Amino acid sequence: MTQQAEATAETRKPVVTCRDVNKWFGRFHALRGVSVDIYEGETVVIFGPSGSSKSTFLRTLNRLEPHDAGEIVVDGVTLDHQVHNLHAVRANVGMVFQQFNLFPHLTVRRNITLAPQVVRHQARKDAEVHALHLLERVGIPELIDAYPGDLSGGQQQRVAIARALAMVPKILLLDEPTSALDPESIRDVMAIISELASTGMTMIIVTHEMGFAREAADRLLFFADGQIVEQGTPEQIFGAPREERTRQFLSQIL
Amino acid sequence: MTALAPPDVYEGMVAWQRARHWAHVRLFDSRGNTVLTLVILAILGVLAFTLVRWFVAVADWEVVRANRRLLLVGRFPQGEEWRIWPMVLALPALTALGWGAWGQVGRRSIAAMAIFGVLILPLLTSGTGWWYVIVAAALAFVAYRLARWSWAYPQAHRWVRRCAVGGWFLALPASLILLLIGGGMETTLWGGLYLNVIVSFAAAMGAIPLGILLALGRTSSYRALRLACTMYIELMRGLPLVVILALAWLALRSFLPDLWGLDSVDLVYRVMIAFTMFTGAFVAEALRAGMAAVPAGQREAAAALGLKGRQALIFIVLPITVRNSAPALAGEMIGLFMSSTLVSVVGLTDMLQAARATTEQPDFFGRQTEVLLFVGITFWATAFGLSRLSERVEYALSGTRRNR
Ligand SMILES: Nc1ncnc2c1ncn2[C@@H]1O[C@H](COP(=O)(O)OP(=O)(O)OP(=O)(O)O)[C@@H](O)[C@H]1O
Ligand SMILES: [Mg+2]
Repeated sequence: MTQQAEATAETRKPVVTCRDVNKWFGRFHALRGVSVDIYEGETVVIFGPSGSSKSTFLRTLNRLEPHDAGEIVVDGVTLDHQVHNLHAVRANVGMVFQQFNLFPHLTVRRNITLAPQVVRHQARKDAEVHALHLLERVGIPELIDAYPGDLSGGQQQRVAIARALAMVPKILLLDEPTSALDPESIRDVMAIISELASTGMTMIIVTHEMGFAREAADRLLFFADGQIVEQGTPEQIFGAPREERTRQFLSQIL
Repeated sequence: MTALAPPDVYEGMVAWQRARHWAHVRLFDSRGNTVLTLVILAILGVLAFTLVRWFVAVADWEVVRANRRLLLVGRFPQGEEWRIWPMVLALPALTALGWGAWGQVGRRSIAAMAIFGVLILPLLTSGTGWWYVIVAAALAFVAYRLARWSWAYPQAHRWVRRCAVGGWFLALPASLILLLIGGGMETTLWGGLYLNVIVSFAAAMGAIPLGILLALGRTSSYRALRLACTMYIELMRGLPLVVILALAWLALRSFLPDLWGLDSVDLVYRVMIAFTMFTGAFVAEALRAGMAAVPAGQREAAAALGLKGRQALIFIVLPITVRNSAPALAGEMIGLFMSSTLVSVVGLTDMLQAARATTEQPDFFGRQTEVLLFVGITFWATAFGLSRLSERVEYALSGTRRNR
């Protein structure tokens, strides 16, 4: 658990604030009044049944999915239809996808350096040095000149993490980063994410890796039917869940 | 069909025994297969016999040799060849540079080029011509070696690739400038294969950007723009190219009087514009299909990294689109080159028209076959080269280093 997370409530400041966020897909009410604050340095795990709008919620936080009602403030910027600097906000919010979504026509090196060069106007040299450093951090520096199509799933996801980190994001969003991986890769990638959590990166992770949630998370959000049914520390949620729905779900997956 | 023979079957056999075994297994293993093999062999045999007999006993290539100048450059004035030679020297070098910068020349390609060279070059050259051929080949070789060498040095390699791409973009303006400077050539004097190449090259350079804009317009969220682009594309795709050419020739004046001085533009340029407008519509459709196949996840990943719409388009969406559409685009470009023979409709003397003209020469009465065959081989070779090029583009953008 991180230092920031242990600080008292007065000194903590939220980097993400959601107030009564609602979202509809046509007639389907996907998000039903979600309110939550995420604090700097926190590692928040979101879990819940399939179709409970976990992904949708995560995607509203960088406005890949615009929300319909309520307020979302990320890094001091209110996300609504008149937001001017959406691109700047997105540059500060990294995202890792379940399906990796690496750019297939670019080498690993270029995948990582593209956004820093194009969005942040970094010099190529600096961007490449940083890319190599990040690849060392995720354990695959030797693959810098490979193409994504030639990598295994676990390697691709590590590149995707490096790509997100290259922008030095304030917040990292991860949507089921290990769901498409084999057990061994799951362990490797989760180890990298745990290591990131311990360095104080603010992270919101949708995952069903409950071992990871127990060890690395500061807070768990249980989603069901587009709502946060229950939230709390891992001890609270795993030890003494208050809601029947939570208990049911946990008994199914544990 | 029987399964593949296991490797040790061939052990201890000499070559002809192996061949016999191979033929037995592949061609004569069942009654049906045997009949099929014999029928096809018979057809091929007859074809080969007549072809070879024609080539050896009947064909007389003197008509091509004597008219090579007409076929290649039309009625281009004597003494003005310097306007063309630089491009003839530069294009093989550029091709070789690009080839080396993105790939490697395989054994089969070299064989194909050698056969083509042996068939065609003797017809095209005599005396001084050989020197240009040798210089062009040497330049191409040097360019290829340079490009291969640069693979070891990332910085140099990037520059070689930039030069290759930039060279292609400069080739057209350069060849036009060469034709026009210093009391330049009237466009009515442009002709032969050079006219086909320059018209289709110009149309390609115009049609690809136009196609990109049209494809973007047709998928845009602005309704009016979408409608306009759709109408344009459907209009162009629905009109025969000959009609468009005829309109460019005759009717442009009446439609666009004095507008931008279009009525006074030279016929060749109007033809280029017509080809551009026509091909642009087809390019747009090929690109639209490729663009629809770009996974949504790629756009989302780009957006999530903070790339703006235009940046995502240039760095992510368009390259993947081009890879997806490369075969269709190559098809359009080949079609464009073939269609460039239609310029005779508006009275220009391209290679095909020049070929027809030769048949009226009394010396070569009844020698159309050789001339047309020569034109055919030239066009076929160009089309073949273009389709190989599209394979290379696809591979370069394929996101793999695995050999195919
Ligand atoms: N673009 C969309 N259009 C219509 N409905 C959508 C769209 N995206 C999501 N939904 C619906 O919203 C609901 C929530 O989807 P979401 O992907 O957020 O669930 P999830 O909790 O991430 O599920 P999973 O665990 O399976 O990933 C689902 O019922 C889904 O069908
Ligand atoms: Mg999901």
